[in-house]
Amino acid sequence: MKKKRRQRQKTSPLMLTPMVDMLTVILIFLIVHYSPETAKIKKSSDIKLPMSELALKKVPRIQIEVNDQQIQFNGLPLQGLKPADDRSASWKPLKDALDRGSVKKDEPILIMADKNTSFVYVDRTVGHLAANGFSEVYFLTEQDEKTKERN
Amino acid sequence: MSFLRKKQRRRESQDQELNLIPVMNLFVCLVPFLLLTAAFVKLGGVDLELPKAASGEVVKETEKSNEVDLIVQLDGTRIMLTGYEKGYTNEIENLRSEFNVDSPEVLAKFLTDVSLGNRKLNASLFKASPQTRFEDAVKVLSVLRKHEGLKSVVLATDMVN
Repeated sequence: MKKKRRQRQKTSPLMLTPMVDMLTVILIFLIVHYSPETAKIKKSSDIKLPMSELALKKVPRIQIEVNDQQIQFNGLPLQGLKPADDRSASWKPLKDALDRGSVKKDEPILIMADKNTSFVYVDRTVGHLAANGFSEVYFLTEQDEKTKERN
Repeated sequence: MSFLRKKQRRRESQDQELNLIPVMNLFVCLVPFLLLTAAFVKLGGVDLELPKAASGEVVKETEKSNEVDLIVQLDGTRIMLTGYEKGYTNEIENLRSEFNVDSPEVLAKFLTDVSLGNRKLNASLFKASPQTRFEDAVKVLSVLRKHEGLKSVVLATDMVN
């Protein structure tokens, strides 16, 4: 009996070392691939971005998403504004949103659109931004690492 | 006696194990947090200038320069490129070309060839037709933006009242 008890005591507890090893590898991988900048972008999940080799220098505070149906300003749809409508009066919600956000004219504005969106909607949005005195826009893309390496 | 003490000490040191539980607690918190917030798609961006309401500086006609301004027009899948003297004054002969949007490397090579010659690239103005897809426009704009010789890429938009 005594011998059995001693044997039972000798058996090691739960082996945590392999689990710690595995978690360390996962943690390192996640830290290396973690980009907090990306989390700041308020993008709809269903849009497929066009590819480009250029990196995003900084994430602008003002983000505008353009699609065939509507325009979103910092994640919120601008009510009553249809991108297909080329009358200047119907673009007032965009001007109001820019005024409300007290955006400086030299601030860059991030434009997001699905790769299959007609460029005319993006062009119209950018045209209204230019008319409001803005001078710089960034087009959001997905960074194409493969092409970059090939070049 | 000393032999027994040594044996006891050795047994004690064998019993002592590194306490991994605080490490495990930390990992269990960090790994789900990073998994939830991580974005595995790396995002990029093409930065562009917008036309200003007032016109730029007036270039004197007598002022001769070897700098070239480009007008890049995208019509569906066709890229049309025209070279002008600085300030978009006069069109330069033999500096007009056409490319396909599916081969942007040909456009990149053309730009490199121009800047390697006796002319220097200055600025470019980009205009796309309504039939153009956003993806094709970004493809061309990326090539223009990537070219080191071009100081600026201006997006020419439709007139807005």
